[in-house]
Formats: sequence, C-alpha cells, structure tokens
Amino acid sequence: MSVKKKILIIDDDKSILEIFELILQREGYITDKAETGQEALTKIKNESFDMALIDVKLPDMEGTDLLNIINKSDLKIIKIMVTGYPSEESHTKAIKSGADGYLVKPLDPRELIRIVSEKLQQDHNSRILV
Amino acid sequence: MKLSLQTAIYRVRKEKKPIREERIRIEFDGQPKDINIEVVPMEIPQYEEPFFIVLFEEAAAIQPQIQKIGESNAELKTADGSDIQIMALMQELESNKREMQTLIEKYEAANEEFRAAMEEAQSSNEELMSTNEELETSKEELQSTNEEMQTLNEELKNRNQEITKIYNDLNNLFNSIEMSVIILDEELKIRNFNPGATKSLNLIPSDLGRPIQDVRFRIDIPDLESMIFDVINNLSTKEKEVQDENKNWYKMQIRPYLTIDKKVEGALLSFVDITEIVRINNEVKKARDYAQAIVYTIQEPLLVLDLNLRVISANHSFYEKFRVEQVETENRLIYELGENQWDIPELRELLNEILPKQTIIGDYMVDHVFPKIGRKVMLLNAKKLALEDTSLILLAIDDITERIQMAQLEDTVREKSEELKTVQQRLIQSERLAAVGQTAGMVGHDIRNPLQTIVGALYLTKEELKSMPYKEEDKEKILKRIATIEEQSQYINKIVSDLQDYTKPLKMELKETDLHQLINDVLSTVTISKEVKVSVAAEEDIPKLKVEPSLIKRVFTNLILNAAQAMPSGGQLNINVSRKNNEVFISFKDTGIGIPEENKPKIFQPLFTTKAKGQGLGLAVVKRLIEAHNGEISFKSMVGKGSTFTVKLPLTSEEEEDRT
Repeated sequence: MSVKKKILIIDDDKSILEIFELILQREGYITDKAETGQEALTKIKNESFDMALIDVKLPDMEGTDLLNIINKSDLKIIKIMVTGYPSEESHTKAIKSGADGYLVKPLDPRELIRIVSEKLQQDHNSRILV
Repeated sequence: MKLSLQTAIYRVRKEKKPIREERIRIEFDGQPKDINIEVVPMEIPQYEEPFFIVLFEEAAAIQPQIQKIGESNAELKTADGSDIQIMALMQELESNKREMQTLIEKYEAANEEFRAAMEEAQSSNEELMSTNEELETSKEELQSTNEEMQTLNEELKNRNQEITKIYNDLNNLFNSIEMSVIILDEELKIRNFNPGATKSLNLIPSDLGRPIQDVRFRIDIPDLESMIFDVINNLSTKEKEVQDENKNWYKMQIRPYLTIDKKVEGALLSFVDITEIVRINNEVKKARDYAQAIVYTIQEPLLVLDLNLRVISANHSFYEKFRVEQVETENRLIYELGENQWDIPELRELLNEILPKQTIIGDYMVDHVFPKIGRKVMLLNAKKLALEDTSLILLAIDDITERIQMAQLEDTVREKSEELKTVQQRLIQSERLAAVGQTAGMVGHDIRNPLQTIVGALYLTKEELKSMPYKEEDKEKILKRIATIEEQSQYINKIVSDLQDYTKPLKMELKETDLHQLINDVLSTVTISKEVKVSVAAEEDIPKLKVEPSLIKRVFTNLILNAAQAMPSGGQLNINVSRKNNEVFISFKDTGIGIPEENKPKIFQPLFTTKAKGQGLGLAVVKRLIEAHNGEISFKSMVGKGSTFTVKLPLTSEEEEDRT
C-alpha cells in the first residue's frame, strides 16, 4: 500500500466539502478542506497536498486566481477545477491557467473517483520517470 | 289764152326746158290781139316746187312770120292775099293741133292717173276686205276674251272666298298665337296687335293708333325707336333678347312690314317668351361650364374619342402629362398620338375588343414605356357615352406610376421595418436571453452545488447500504428509491443545462465527429428505464461531420431522453443514421404516446411542454443547436403510435471532397 495521497478540497459550499471528503476518504485518500482562496493558500503552503479540487468561484477570489498564485510558487500539486457554471470561456481560461482537469458539477461520484485516481496515477508515473 | 298757157306750163314742167308759144290770139279790149308767151322753168333752192317765169309779149309784125312759113311751105308763097288768111288759119290749126296734142297727152296722163287711182281703190278695197276679216276675227277674240273674263271673274270670286278664308285663318292665327305681335305703321303708330300682346305686353285696345314710343309696356327697351327706324330704312331684321319687369325673357324680332308689292309700310314687332328656353339654356350652360370646369380642373388626363377612336378633345392635364400639343392631338387617331407612342397592345385590346362589348371599363391597367416620358403604369377608365346623334368614348387615364413606385417604396419600407422589427425583437429576445442567461448561470451554479451534494450523498448512501445489515429485499427497495432520486436529480441538472444552453451564446469549435460514436457516447451517459429498448443503426459510409461535439451531444441527449419519457411504460427507440446526397439524417423513432395535433405547432417554442416534469426548453434548445449547424429538425407523430424526430445535417463541401 502506497502512501496515502492528500487532497485539498476548496469550495465555499460546506455540504459539497463534506460529501467530497466522505467520497474520497472512502477511496482511501487523506482530505482537507478550505472555504476560501486565502485559507487554501495557507494550507497548501503549510502542508503538502498531492491534489487540489478548486471551485471556480470562491468568495474571496476566482478559482483561476488561486491557480495562478499556486503556479507562481514552487508547489507541486495537481489542480482540478470544478464548476457549477460551465462555459467554454471558463474551461479555456482554466486550462490556460494550468489546470490539470475541468469538472462540471453535478459530478457523478464514480466519475470523480475515476478522474482523481487517473490524475494521481499520471502524476505518480511522471514522478517515477523523473 | 288760158288753155295755151296751161299747156305750155304743163309742157315745161314735163320737159324742163323753156317753151315759147307764139301768136296766141287773145281778146284784149274787145280787139283780137296776138301775143307770144314764153315759159321758163326756174328752180329756187329753198323750194321744192318748180317755179316758172311766164313772159308775155305782143306779137310783132306778122310778116316775118309769114316769111318763115313761106320758107317751109313754098306753095303758099305763091298764093295771093287769100293765102295770108290760109296761113293764119293754118297757124291756128297748127296751134290747135298742138293744143290738141297737149290735151291728148293730158288726157292720157289723167287716164294714167285714173288708172292708178283705180288700182289704189282696188287695193283699198282689198284692204278693207282684209280689215273686215280682221274685225271678224277681233270680234271672235272679244267673245273669247269675254268668256275668259267670265272665268276670271269666277276665279276671282273663288279667290275672294279663299282670301276670306285665309284672312280668317290668319286672324285666328294672329289672335291665338302665344307670341305677342305688334304691327306699326311708318310713323310707328300701333296699327294692330294680337291678344298675346294684350296679355304679355299690357297693351289695351285704346293703344291702337298711338305711337309706340308713347305706349308704356312691361318691357323696357331704350333704343326701341331707333331700332325700328333702322329696320324700316334698311329693310333689315333685328333680334334682341329682352327682359320684362317680371324677369321673363323675350326674344324680340323687328321686321319690316312689307306689302305684296314689296313696299314698306311699317314694322312688325314680335315677342316670343323664351324665359324657359333661357332658363334651360342657362342650366345647360351651367352644366356645360360645370363639366368643362371639372374636365379642366381634373388632375387625371382625360381624352374624348369618337367611335372611330379619333380624339375629339383632351384636357389640359393630358397635354401636360404626356407632353403633347393640342394641334397634334385633336382629330388624330389615338394610336397615332405622339409619334405612335400610344400604339399599345393593351390599349388596342381595351378599345377594339373589350369596349365594344361593355359600356364601362374600370381600372384597366396598362404598363407601357413611352419613348419620350418613360415608363408609365396607368389605370384606364373608359365609358361609352351615347348621345342623341353620336357616341363618344371618355377615356380617363390615371397615372399610377408614382403611386406604384410609392407603393413599392412603401413595401420596401414596410419590409425593412419588419426586418428591423424582427432584428429588434431578436435583439430584445437576445438581450432578454442574455439576462435570463446570466440569471440562469447564477441559478445554475446555485442549483448545481446542492445537486452535487445530493448526488454525492446518494452515492454514499448506496455504498454504505451495501454493508448495512438489511435484508436484500429491503436494500432493493431503498436502492430503487435512490435510483428515482438520482433520475430526478439528473433532470434537475438537465433543466439547468438546457437553460444555460438556450440562453448562452453558442461557441462552436467544429471538429470532425463520428455521429454513430457520438450517439453511443450519449447512450452510455443517460439513464433510461430498462423497459425501453434502444437500437442504433447506421449506414456504413457515413462520413465524419464537422460539428461542435458537445452541442450535438446535447441534441442527441435531449432527443433520446424525450423519447424515453414518451414511453413511461416501455417501448422501442430506433435510432437511424443515413445519408442522402449531401445531407445526413439522424432519426429517433419511438413507440410512445405521440404528440396531439394541437400541440404540434408549438413544440419547438421555448417553455412549451406537454410533460408534467419537463422544463419546456429541450426541443427549443435542440432546434437552436441544429440550426447553428445549418441543419434542420422535423418530426412526424401520431397519438398512441409514437413520434419520429429527424435531424438533418449538411455535409460540408470539404467533407464532400474528402469522400471523393
């Protein structure tokens, strides 16, 4: 059993945070949650996370702003954007801002599990290669 | 001596030479004496009658005489004294003889004269006889003349009777005619007038004999006297229309009064009441003025034609509008006007074929390009007008060129306005949609979060249920409920998505897409009741289409979910992909409840729905997305049998090239 992966879930909706935590924890991940961009940044800087699920709209900033800030730091973290308001622009913007994935709510939990697992595996593989 | 002298003069007259008679014995104082007489003829120029000079001389000695005789008669010379006597006797004898001779000659002359007289008498007698005859003839003639006279007399009597009759006739006529007649003598005294004059001119019997200028009658004619004199002097006839105090009009005529032998004996005045005629004339004139004013004022060009289609007249407007002159218009055939520019087939048809059958033709349209004035669209109104002795054709030409141009312009303006309105409406719609879209985005975000929670919670519930100590039977029940909640959550998600799709501006990134694959992808993500059997059939040579896959996916999703919903108690959904020419057809055929007729026109309208659960945007979104791909959607449906929705998408030329 490999080391458990740490995932930070960032959303201003507490029920989403709770459900995503429960689903991912059932899959064996370690999860933490942040309700604002600022909180998320603090947590990312203090702890190391393998992945961040970022809501596109946060109370204090845009999800993409958070992406940009993370990109500017040396922090290695898989960034998956999650939105309740999907649009081409936000998709494009997210990819340009260095997002590794773009998910639309409501998301089938099985789909969530699959993608999270896939992205982490890719990341793991790429690290092995390095 | 008298006899001798007579004889001598006779002889001189006859012989026209002087004669000498010698020894004429005369008794002078009782003594015989011998004298010589010489008669000499003499002519005096002033007198025609011959004059004679008679010379008397006393005879000288007898001797020379005897001697002379002796020379001629020798025997006597020898005679003695008695011889002298004998000689004297002989001389006497000789003289007698000569006298005798003269007498004889005279007698003969007288005889001659007598005979001539006899002849004359005879001739006179004859003349007398002839005269007698003539007299006889004259007598006969006289008798005949007499007879003729009698006949004439008879005739005269008849004539007289006739004249009396005529006089009576004339008198009656004179008295009964309506018009007033006054007869004036040379001094303008009223010689006669008829009862008509009594009535209308107010003449009374005592006016007879009075000079006309002294009579005051109802009509005031200032120059009447001079007019009458003029008529009498010049033997002319004068006419004048005059008005009386009561505003009645009369035609006054003054004629010279002529006797049978053409002598002027005054004048005859007649007055005919023409009040009615004047009134009618005035009315006619008024009507004519009125008609002329209308014709002149009327804006419409107007032609008056005779039945041979010759222009009798045209109004001002016609000349102005068609730029022709009066001289080159009147009396010309309509087809010849303006260098034959009126020779229009439609006009010929109208005038030669239609008009003879009808009297009125309204709004007959003629569209013609005139050489001078260009294209004219005209409405022709023609009317055949039958007058007493002739027929006319009135042809009014209503130039509607400008009106038509205006109408066309108006149509264009209206069209443009409509377009503008449509654009405006679309703008408003899109603005509204944009607003709705914004709202939908926010609402969507707000709904999607709780949905996410629900979906997640259901997932967890299902997972946790597995390890719960419930009977499998109960677990099934719970899972069934959960499935229902999941299904409904999916619908909520669809509503939000549709709303966003319908309102947000479409961004198309065309990618070559395999439609068959796309359908299968959709089928794998949608939740369809197990009672609904789905089959997909696609022709093999369907090329990839350049579409925006996410949008076409939404189209197929919506159509498939609709079909599934139409079959709540199960059924068959057949999806078929085929190609015809440059178009690809994707049909979705269900065996569901079908669409009632009354709903058919409305199903593509947004927010129209027949479903108890449904947002009414599904088909509207489908239509919008397909049209964004230049495609079309159509459907056939029958209640109780099912519906077939067919999407038609065009193959682009690029794909066409790829294929070939």
